[in-house]
Amino acid sequence: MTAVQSTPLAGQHAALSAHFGEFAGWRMPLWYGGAVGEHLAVRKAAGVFDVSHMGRFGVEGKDAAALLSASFSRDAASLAPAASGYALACNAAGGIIDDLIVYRLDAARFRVICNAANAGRIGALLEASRSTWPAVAVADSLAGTVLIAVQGPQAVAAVAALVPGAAAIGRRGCGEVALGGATCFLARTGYTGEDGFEIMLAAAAGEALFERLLAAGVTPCGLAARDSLRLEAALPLYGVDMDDATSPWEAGLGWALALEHDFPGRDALIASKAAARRRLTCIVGDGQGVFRSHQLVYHDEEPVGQVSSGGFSPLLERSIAMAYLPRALAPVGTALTIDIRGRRVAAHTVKRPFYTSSRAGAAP
Amino acid sequence: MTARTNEVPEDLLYSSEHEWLRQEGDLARVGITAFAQDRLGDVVYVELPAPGAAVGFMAKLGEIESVKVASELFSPLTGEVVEVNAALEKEPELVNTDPYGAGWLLVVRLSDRSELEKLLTPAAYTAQIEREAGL
Repeated sequence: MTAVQSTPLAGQHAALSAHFGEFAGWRMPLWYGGAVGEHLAVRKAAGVFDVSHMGRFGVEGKDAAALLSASFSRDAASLAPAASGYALACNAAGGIIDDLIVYRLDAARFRVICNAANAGRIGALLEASRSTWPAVAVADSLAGTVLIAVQGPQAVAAVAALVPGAAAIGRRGCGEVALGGATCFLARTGYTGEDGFEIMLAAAAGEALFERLLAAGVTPCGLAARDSLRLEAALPLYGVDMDDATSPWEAGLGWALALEHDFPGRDALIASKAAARRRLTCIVGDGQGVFRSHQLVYHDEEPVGQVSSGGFSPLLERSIAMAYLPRALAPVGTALTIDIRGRRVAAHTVKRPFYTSSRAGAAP
Repeated sequence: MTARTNEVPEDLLYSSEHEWLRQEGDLARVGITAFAQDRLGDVVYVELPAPGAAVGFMAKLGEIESVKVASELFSPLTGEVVEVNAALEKEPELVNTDPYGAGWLLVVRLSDRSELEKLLTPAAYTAQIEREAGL
């Protein structure tokens, strides 16, 4: 077991009196002042998250598009320059190795951002693909860089005021700009259900930008708020809502599968589409108590599934959860109960997601 | 928003499970400490017994749920619950913002004063949280 890692912003977090926790081998801020306030700041104004633990790779060369297309569920070759696409890395059985975003800067230069816990697997997968396309350069960009996410209805304006050129990048777009003499990678994506940017830059420049964002009134937010925000937006979390054995069809991620192109798991996924019997379903609590992972879900006194992600929704002021339920129970308004440590709490199914920003657009 | 303090008021007694007790004549008011709420993070739900219920010394009293975690509450005394803090139903965050004041949990009728001697003094509790903070 390797030692717990810290991000280049660890000093900033300590100065802000962050509460730290360990996540995927990283010591990360869970919250500063309080997770509920941070959550609401992102919904109503803007928040900044240190997500420097996430895996990030540069994939460059004439055949970079071909390599990425052959590796993931979205056809990277069909991405326009300055665009991005959410994709899955699947195993041969169609199970999910990771979910990630592929960014295309120009014809031959791509960036890939993936989950921290899976960075090793994605790096190995990309490296293995080089046996077919040896001229493609794969660079692990983690060392010496910072990745921060600025999210919320005021996030774009806050970033644009500090990063010249940011305003020109549209929804789900990406680009590079010069900032303080260094190259800054900007992506108009995120994991909160809000508009905003994810920004990768050299550590020193990242520390400076983080502090300038705070000075501009952007709220520092920890991973607890990030988790409650993504849950309200019904964005599945790898390792919690999906893993190697999860069917993308059941996870509601069929839209991220470009089946017209060849990628690992494609044949299995084509074959398994009709067999999907469960669906990742959004559930709202009607009683007191907070839903948590692994709690059992009942319908008509029969156990029908378990909570994959659960938590308190600061926006709805209720407990919310996602669970894989039989498709017959997925329709809105199905009455359920969830077992909270021996106490059955009433709940019902709702439309996915729990929350949609009027600004961020519908598709995840 | 949590109160960023490890304040340990001098006029209270403490349990090793981070509850505080304030003796008020024949009654005792009970809450959780500033250190405890700071560790929990934003409290979103508190489950407590109803008035009239019997609670036992260091037996499970209820549950407190923060954004991140569900924790058990323990009673620092044996007795009958005479009042619960109804404000927590609508404003559980009072436990964070004012743990020794408006964020109190309940009032219990004292039945065995010798139990008070088993609780921690402010100095002993301060030593405990310093040990825990150092972990």
